[in-house]
Amino acid sequence: MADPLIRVSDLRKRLDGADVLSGVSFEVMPGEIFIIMGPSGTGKSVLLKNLIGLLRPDGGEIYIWNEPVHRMREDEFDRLRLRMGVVFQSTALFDSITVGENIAFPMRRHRQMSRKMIRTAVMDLLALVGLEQAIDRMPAMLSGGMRKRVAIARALALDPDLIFYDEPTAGLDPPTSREVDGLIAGLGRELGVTSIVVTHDLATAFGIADRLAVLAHGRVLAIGAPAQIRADRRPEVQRFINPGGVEERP
Amino acid sequence: MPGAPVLEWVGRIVLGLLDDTGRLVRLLASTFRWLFRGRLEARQTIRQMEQIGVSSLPIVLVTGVFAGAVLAFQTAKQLLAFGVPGLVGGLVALSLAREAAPVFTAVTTAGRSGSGIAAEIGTMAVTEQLDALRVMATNPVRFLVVPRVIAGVLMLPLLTLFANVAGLVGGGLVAAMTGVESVTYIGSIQRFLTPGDLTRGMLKAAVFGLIITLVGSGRGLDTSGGAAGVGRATTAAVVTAIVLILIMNLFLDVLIF
Repeated sequence: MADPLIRVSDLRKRLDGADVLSGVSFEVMPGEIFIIMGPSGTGKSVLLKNLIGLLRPDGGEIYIWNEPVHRMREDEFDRLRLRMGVVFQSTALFDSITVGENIAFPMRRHRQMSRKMIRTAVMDLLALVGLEQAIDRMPAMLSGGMRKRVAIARALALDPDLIFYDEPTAGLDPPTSREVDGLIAGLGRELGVTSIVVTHDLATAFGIADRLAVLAHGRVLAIGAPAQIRADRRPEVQRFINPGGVEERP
Repeated sequence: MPGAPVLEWVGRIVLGLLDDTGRLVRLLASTFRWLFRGRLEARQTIRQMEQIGVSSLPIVLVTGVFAGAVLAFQTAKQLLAFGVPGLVGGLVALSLAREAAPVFTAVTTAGRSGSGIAAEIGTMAVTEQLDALRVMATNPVRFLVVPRVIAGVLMLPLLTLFANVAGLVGGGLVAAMTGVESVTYIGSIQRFLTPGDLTRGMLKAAVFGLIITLVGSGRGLDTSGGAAGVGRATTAAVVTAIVLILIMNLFLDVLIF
């Protein structure tokens, strides 16, 4: 069996005097679509920020590609970040430059590529997310769903092995949410990218996950394949995954 | 105790100032570290030189003209009464070169560019764009702060030079209107103003450029709390920069003049 791509053990984080993460442990295997789900305010985004190095843990360990990222300096972490992509909840597109320039940004900074090569790569990525026509538009001119797609294209710019998504369907209508889900699942399956998705959207979680971790009160409450989580009869798990008889997609 | 609230208020202000100073010193250290490490962000730096320098030129020229004009008006009024019109040009030129041009230029630029820097970086902070830079292995200090600081340090002295010229022209016009002959005015400037006065004034301006861009960037980087936070950061950037400029102006005067 392959080594885990991410190994988190006993991760702890306090913010503003409160325990946000109180000993979180899990592993993510290469190529997996791993969902971290839980109600709002349970520390999902804080966990994600620890994984991508925007916050540093107060205790515990995080290994990514067997490297101890929990004790890495920022510039050491940057070496690993070149193999990762991150899609932020707010998309975090640079609003002063065009869609094409946003996607080209990481290539310009970290790849030795000619203008023509970059333009071709940007067009390919936009085609992948179905937005070729948006290349010269400003992010503010796009709808929420389109901005998410551009953010996904930008996260793919350096051909990463690992992508993190923070609430990818937040603020989107249900049909657009399912389109974004389809895109995430497609990229995971077709490109073999390992995907970590933080969400409180049950349709996303059960629709695309290989495995799920349910987070509550800063701890992992349950972890396993969607069928295992569904079969977990503990009230605290059921309270979240089946608050009023949520209809799940097959 | 009756004085306790006042003491508490003073203590809070002092602690706040120390905290601000500590953040600025840390940002300055980080800026210098990135300045001498890795390649220069040429595109960003040129864009900032345009923003801080070229775009500020009109307002700096207007400020310069009126600063020179009012200096000439006041000095001419006094000196003509004593029958020494030959001192007007020199006094205007020295006042401009040493004080008025660098300080007025800096205060104007703090209002225009310092606020712009804080608002732009602050907006990036509250919309996760700074986080996006970091996860794309791009240090925000290197990418955003260093180009602005370089632009500020290079552009403020040039703007000050233009303010000097504009001030001398404005002063000359008012001096002529109050009865000082142009030949006397220009001759007086030539007699009193040395290149050293101009360069020392420009040196002060370079320090002010550092203050404006560093404070604006620092306030922007520390922004939180959405649109209201951006507003607070912008106001704080201008106020802090102007106070620091005025304090530093006194220290620099004692040191170099």
